[in-house]
Amino acid sequence: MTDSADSPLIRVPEMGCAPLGSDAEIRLAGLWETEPGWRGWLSTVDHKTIGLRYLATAFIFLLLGGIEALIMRLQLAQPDQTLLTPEQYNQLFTMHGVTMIFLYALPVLSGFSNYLWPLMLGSRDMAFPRLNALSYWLFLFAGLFLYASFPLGQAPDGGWFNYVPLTGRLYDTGPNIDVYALGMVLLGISTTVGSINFIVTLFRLRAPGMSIDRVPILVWGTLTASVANVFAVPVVSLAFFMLWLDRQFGTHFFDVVNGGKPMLWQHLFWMFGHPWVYVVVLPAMGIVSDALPTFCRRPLVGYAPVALSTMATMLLGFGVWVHHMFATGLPTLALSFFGATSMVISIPSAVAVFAWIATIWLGRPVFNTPFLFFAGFVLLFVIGGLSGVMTAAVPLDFQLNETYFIVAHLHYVLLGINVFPVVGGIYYWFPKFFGRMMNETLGKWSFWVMFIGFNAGFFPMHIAGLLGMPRRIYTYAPNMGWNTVNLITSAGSFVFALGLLLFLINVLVSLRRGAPATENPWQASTLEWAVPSPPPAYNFAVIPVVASRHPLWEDWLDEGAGRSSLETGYLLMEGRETLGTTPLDARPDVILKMPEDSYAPFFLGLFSSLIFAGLLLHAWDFAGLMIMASGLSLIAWLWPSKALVQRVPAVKPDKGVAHV
Amino acid sequence: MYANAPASFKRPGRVSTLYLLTALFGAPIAWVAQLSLSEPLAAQACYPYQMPLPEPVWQGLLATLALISGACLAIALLSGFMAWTLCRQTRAPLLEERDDRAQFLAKLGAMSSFIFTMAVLFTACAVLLVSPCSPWH
Repeated sequence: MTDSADSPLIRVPEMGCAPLGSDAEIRLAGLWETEPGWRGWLSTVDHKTIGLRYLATAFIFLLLGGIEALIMRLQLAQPDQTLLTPEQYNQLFTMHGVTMIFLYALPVLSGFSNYLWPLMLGSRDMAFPRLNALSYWLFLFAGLFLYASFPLGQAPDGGWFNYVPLTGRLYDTGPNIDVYALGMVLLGISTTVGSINFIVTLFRLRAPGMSIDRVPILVWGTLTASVANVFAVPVVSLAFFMLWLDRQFGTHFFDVVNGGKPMLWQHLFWMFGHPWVYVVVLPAMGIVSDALPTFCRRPLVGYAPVALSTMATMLLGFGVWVHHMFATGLPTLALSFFGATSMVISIPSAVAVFAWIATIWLGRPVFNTPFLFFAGFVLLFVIGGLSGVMTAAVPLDFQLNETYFIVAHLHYVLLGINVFPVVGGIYYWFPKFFGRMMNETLGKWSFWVMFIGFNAGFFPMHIAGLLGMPRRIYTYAPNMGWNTVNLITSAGSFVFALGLLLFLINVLVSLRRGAPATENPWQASTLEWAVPSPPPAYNFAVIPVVASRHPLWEDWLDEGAGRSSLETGYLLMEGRETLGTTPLDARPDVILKMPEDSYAPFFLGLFSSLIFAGLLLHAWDFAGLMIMASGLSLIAWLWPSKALVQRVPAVKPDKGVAHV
Repeated sequence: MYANAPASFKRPGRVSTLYLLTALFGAPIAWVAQLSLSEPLAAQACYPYQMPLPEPVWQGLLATLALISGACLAIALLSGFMAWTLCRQTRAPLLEERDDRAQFLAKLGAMSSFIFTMAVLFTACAVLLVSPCSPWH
């Protein structure tokens, strides 16, 4: 390889190979491995560790939210129950919603993407490893912040969409809503920095040759969700900040008595809220689009339509927010625009569904546990999607609004399109994460118990809604005709929880006793399966060169003009380095110096969270002190480092020839 | 730098960037414009202050909305035409002449134009079929 005068690559990276155990490989491991012990635990910026932390933390929140749901289902299993007081019920259903939607649904997908993106894209890390660590710490602290008031009986209690004026100071005098408002602003910072990291990673850190038409669909899903987050999250952060100002400083943004606009809250919340629904399902759909073909023994049918449908769904998702507000008295034509878009959105969704069905139909399905979860997901997606189209019709929505039909719909969407692909994804990538296979028998049991429990638990909610049962009531009279459906729903929810428990048992058992996994146990096609299981700290000993969409299936599919080079590639080992490539064609562009581990993200996350704690407790001095501490952490973070100079100042051929 | 680069880095002749951008983003932008202009006009005309009205305050509301929809539909169709042209341009029978990336983006443009032209049409249907204000007020 020769260098041109205008190449920004300055130093010409050497091509070569570095097999396991070679001097070069040992040197790389030394460069990238995290220090053992608590120091390494607090300072690591390894995307794999951060990804697994996201997954584990999100699953803990899933369990908490699930326990809250089960307590509510015990309360509603029969009429006139007194297990919970109305206030306790309010806090439970609010925290259940907040937990599942904000602390589980997106973070769990961020976990997958954090772990998998650099491996799928052929890179050694995310674009901003320290930002990645900060994103995780902020998520963890925001979760703890939101939960801290729960044991004191002061948790958020106005529902997850927190409508004003109910949540104004006049009607909700405790700290409950302030906890929610500040916690959401804090969580918004985490989501925003994480999203920016994903966007830059996709456009700059793909392996050479992985042009934009060759990236896995999961990457499209997370990219789309990340771009949406950049636009949507500031809206809700602003809304919560305005509400906090109303409550603490007497501003009148939402104060009806003084000319404030409660509808402004609904608009701001749902401008964020509906895109968020797609944010928490599109990457999950990407999991299915990437993993399902492995078990169908053929590439995904309609790669381009599925990629496009992912992006189109997201953009259309920004134009449907008023369908959450059909009953607010807005003029009919204004409502109809949003009803129309809500129906159009079924077109890209249907494209994806037909692509999955066609992939199964034209393939040779292998009925492993992940396949069952992905196939089950397709069915649940259709049911949830159909009830969504029903509620897109304004007159029907008037009837169904605030009933259990809506609860059924949103659970089919969020559990069906998020939890099932996520659990299937864990079964699929568990060998890569931990180097061990999960137990198939227990896996199949967990699927069937979850699937039956889910449908038994949530399908009757449609009927409860059609029978007129409003959502968010803490009990009901025995003569309402809702007894049987509620009993079945409660029983089903416990069966579903049992299925999830079987899955968790499988995880724990397989961690210890699972059969050792090879690097590609499923014979999959994407790059993450080209590295050992679990992957080494540096991911790829050499940065591979990609020649097709399915680098590991090239011999079999005989697609593309050439063959990907996975064993021989760019040797980058003058410090922590990876290759930056051009946004569309992924041509080698720059050698990126990656940062070492650092405590700065942890401390910045901690001090930032303590600022919010100070604001909540009106400890203004303490908050000021924490702002200064955050500033110091930022200075430590950004302190110039010679090792991080991104471009080596002079042309310098790589040393050595044989790194073998 | 790229003289000896692997075959996968090399690209055949490129298509016009302006064409490509219009094909990819023309129809989505037309739909966003249609929604962003039509919804506030319709809402403001029927609910200008504290009370909703049974009739719009502007007589020309429906004509204005129809004009907006017509203009947006024209942009969406133009975007679709450009995408279709690009699809034809990037179709190459020989493997060595193929530009997968350009072909992929042209395909995305065609599909994006189709979906968002549908969105513009659906939104336009609302203007044609639904009375502007809530008659029960």
